[in-house]
Order: sequence, then structure tokens, then C-alpha cells
Amino acid sequence: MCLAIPARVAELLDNDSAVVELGGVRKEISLALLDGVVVGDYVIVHVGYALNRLDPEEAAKTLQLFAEIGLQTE
Amino acid sequence: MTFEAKIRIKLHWDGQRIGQAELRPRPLVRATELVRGKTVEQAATVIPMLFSICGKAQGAAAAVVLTFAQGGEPDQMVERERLVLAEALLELLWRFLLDLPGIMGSQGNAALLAALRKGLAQAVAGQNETAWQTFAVQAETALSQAILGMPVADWRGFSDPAKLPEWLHLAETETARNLLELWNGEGCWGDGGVALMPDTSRERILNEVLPGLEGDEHFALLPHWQGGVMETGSLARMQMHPLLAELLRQEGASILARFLARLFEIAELLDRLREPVEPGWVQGAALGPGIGLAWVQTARGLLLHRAELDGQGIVADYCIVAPTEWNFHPAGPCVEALTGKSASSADEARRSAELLVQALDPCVAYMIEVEHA
Repeated sequence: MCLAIPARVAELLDNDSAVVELGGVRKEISLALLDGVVVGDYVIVHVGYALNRLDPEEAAKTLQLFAEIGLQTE
Repeated sequence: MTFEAKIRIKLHWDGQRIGQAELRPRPLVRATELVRGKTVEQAATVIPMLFSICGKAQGAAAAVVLTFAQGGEPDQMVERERLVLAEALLELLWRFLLDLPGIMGSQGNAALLAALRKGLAQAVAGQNETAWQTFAVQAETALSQAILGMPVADWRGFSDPAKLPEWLHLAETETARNLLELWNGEGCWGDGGVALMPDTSRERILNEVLPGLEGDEHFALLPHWQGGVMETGSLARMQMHPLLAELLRQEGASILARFLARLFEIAELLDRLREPVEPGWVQGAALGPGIGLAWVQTARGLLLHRAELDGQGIVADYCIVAPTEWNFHPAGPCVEALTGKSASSADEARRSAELLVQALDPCVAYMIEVEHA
């Protein structure tokens, strides 16, 4: 099961990539599969690629679900 | 538990070969903790939201299992199947457009994969036959031009492994160049003697898999088929294809065979996407009052959901068994094929493991550690 945990885009970099924050960890990811991402967006990341964009409300709901079961995302 | 669940593989290299391979499965979030106490409607909404790359398959499995648990008969099965097939098709194309190039040091084609993802999103949003046929044409063009270097119709008729080298040399695609390297030796190993999963018919699932699922509390982490480990995925599903059957006779379940199986399966999925037939990838059954089971094929293999409702229709228990746990079982095909693999250096041992892991395709990240024994 590849959990779809939303990560917040903290910084846009050159070469179609970005830095995301999740669970207190910053990580560089590729934006090659997703258009129009801006800082503050929430994205679902899979093996280094941003796959989907979520609106903040949707992201908050999903993060709350994971928090309920003790998955560390903050 | 943190968000980054990884498979960890430790290779004990003795200077000549990998004497022992140890695999620690990724830590699992128990599905029942995500949905226990929720209504059927809430659970059916939540489950597909929780998974990144197999959301359509997870959503279909959840809808089917919960409907059967309620004593109903799932509707829209043809539509659900089409979504699951399209998701799998895209996942399989991903292997050739990004993963295989990544491991072989070539460029890949992220722009084409991004365009295909958009095409599928439009087909799903369009909800009409024209949108689906447009996506099928787009996917077939990508397959024939960017991957095969030949019309898909010709690829469908490809049945003799002796003709593989000719195709690999003549096709001017990145995929053919990468597969040629595998054919030249790097990918002609990988069979550890683990059985390929048979056809997942209703009878087999209910008689040969369900007892383990219901009787073994560790089944989601360490799944088994009547006590035995199994390989699931494209090669298992396509093992009767004439070219693959011959290749399996010649060199077993090699890394090359696993990649080729995906290419043959992509062509088959395209046909089924164009003309949906009776659902075969999305199936389920009622197991008794308040209990349902769903078994759904995904790009990576068999996905199982089992749900149990209480008397008020609230989820009391929920179990998900993902394909990664079959292929990356501590005694499964990855570990068995690595054990005894010759390697003249620690780097070669690591490279062998990376190739095999990519061929078996986990749905999460992995770490490989080499220890010189």
C-alpha cells in the first residue's frame, strides 16, 4: 500500500523540481508529471514524483485521517 | 511510524556471490485502523483517497467488498473494470518511460508519461465513449512509436523468442536499447524457484487463498498461497503467452521476462480498454452475513480486500493485502533469486539487486545495503 500523504510544496527549483515538506522532512521531488504547481500547494508524491495536486481542504482532511492512526505527518 | 515506508534489503556478499539476502518488508499501516467505526459510505470514500498510485484499484476493491458485505450486488462493474485497466496500463507504461531508463542510465520520457496521465484524466472526466477511445489511441501511439518501434498489431503476433534479438537490434527506441542490454546478459537471471501465481479464479481465491487470509493474523504482511510464497504481477498473468512460456522454459522467470511480460500485457490491456468485456480484473464475493471479499488485479499484481460489518452496518474489521507484500516477502521471489547470485564486486551485487527490484516493481521506495561477509 502506497499511502497518498499530501506534502506541502515549500520551494520551486530549476529543472522542473521542487522541495516539499512532510513529517518535518524536506525533500526534493520532480514536477515533470504535474503542471502548474506553486508554493503552498499540496501534492501527492510517489517515488520522487509529484502525482496529484490537492486543494488545502482536501489535504487537511487526508492529513487528519493519517494523524488519527498515529502516522507522523506534522 | 513515519510516512516513508521502505523495503530494506541486506546482501551478504562473500567476495564471489551473494551468500544470503535478507529482506525486511515495509511497515504496514493496518487498514482496519483507517476505517474501523466508519459507515460503509465513509469507508468507500476514504479508501481510494489514501492510496497514491493504485487509487482506482483500491476504490474498486472497496466498493465491491463493502457492497458484498452489505448483502448487495455491486453495480457499474464494467466501468470500474475500465478504470482499473486504464490505471494499470499507465503504471505499466511508466516502467518503460521512467524506471527502466533510470536504472539503465538513459534519459526516459517524462513528458510523454505526463501527457498520457493527462489523457487518462480527460477520459475519466469525459465519462463518454469518445473520450475513452481518444485515450486508447493516445496510449497505442505511445506504445508503438516510443516503446516498441513497431505497430502494436505486429507486436501482438510476436511469439518466438529467437526473433527477439532482431527486434532489439532494429527497433530504434530507448526501450529496445535498454532491453538489449538485459538480453545481452544483465537481465537473463532472476528465477529463485518461486512459483508464479496461477489464474485468480473465484474457486482458487475462495479455496486456496481465503483460508490463509482469515486464519493467519500476519497475512497482510506475509501473504501466502496455501503456505507457499508466490510471485504476482504481469509475468504471472501472462505466463501462458507463447513467447514468455518459451522464455520461461529457457531461462526461468528472468528480469528480461518480467519486463517483456509487461509489454505484452500493455497490448492486451489496450484491447480490453477499447472494448470492455465481462469484468475479469475486478471481482468479489459475499462470504456470509456482513462479510465480503474483493480481489482485484493491478499493474503490480493481486490486491485483496476483506471487510466485516457489525449489525449496524459499521465497519468492524478491514484487511488489505497488496501485491508488494507477495513479491517482497522475506522468503519470496526477490530474496530467493538474489541468494547465491554471483557477483565479483560489492557494486555488482548491489547492481544485481537494483535490477531485480525494478523488475519486480515494489510500490514503495527501497534501500539496499551490501555487507562483505
